[in-house]
Amino acid sequence: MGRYRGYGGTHTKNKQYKRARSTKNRAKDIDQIYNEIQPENIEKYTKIEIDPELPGMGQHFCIHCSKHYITDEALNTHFQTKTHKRRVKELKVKPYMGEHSYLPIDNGKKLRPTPADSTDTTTTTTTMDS
Amino acid sequence: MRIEKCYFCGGSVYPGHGVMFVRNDCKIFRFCTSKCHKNFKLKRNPRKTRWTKAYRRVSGKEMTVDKSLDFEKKRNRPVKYDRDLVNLTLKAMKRIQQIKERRESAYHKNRMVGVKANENKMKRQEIVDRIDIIRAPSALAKMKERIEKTKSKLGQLNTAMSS
Repeated sequence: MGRYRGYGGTHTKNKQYKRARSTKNRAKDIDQIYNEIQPENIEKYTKIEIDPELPGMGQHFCIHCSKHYITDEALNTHFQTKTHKRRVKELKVKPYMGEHSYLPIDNGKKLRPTPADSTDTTTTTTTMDS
Repeated sequence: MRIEKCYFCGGSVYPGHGVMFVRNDCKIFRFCTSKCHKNFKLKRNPRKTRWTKAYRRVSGKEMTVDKSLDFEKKRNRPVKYDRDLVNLTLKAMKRIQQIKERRESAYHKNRMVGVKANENKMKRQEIVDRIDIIRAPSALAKMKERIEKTKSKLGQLNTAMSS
């Protein structure tokens, strides 16, 4: 039953697929980009420096999609694409950062209070809620 | 040793299970299964993936505001072993679970109020709208009376729902 689970899969010979998914080419996550476009950070991330390693010397950058383009023209056509518009729309709301998966932290009262906070020294040993 | 929560589905990750991924900005992601890991790699949004806890909570399918949910917390301070305290805690855990289950079932029951009636209404509406698909035109003339009856009943239901 099921498919043959021997060597190979759907994408074994697909070079493009592999390249896109390699760790080297891992794109930024949406919550990272969301942080970058915040008013307090945006100045830092939109600073354009000449980098010969990047496409178009790193001069034509789309911050929402975190992608470099070779010319201003290419960047402008990118701004009109659906992928870019979709991304901008997605970034309007705060992305999922695992807030539902993290447990809230509660350490209760201090076990060994320092003299500074000696106001509540009555219950020091048992701090577990039952 | 600690039971972590899966980043994607929100389920428990027991020691020795799952995968941990550390992004290059030091943020830690834990995954309970390869399913969750793969979905993360595909950059899916847990809020929009129907089977995750995040989706269920956002769309009001599960109880989110309740005192019984506050017990599950991350505590970074170890508690000194005390036999009585352990006994008491174990006892309390069982009781809390009971209460939680009861409240959850009540929440579900409350959520399902009126669902059945709405479904029936929709079915009736569909029959009225698409009657020409299921009956031949010659038969339609004969059953005119019945169709009118269903229509009037639908109107009643609609007014009852809106009021």
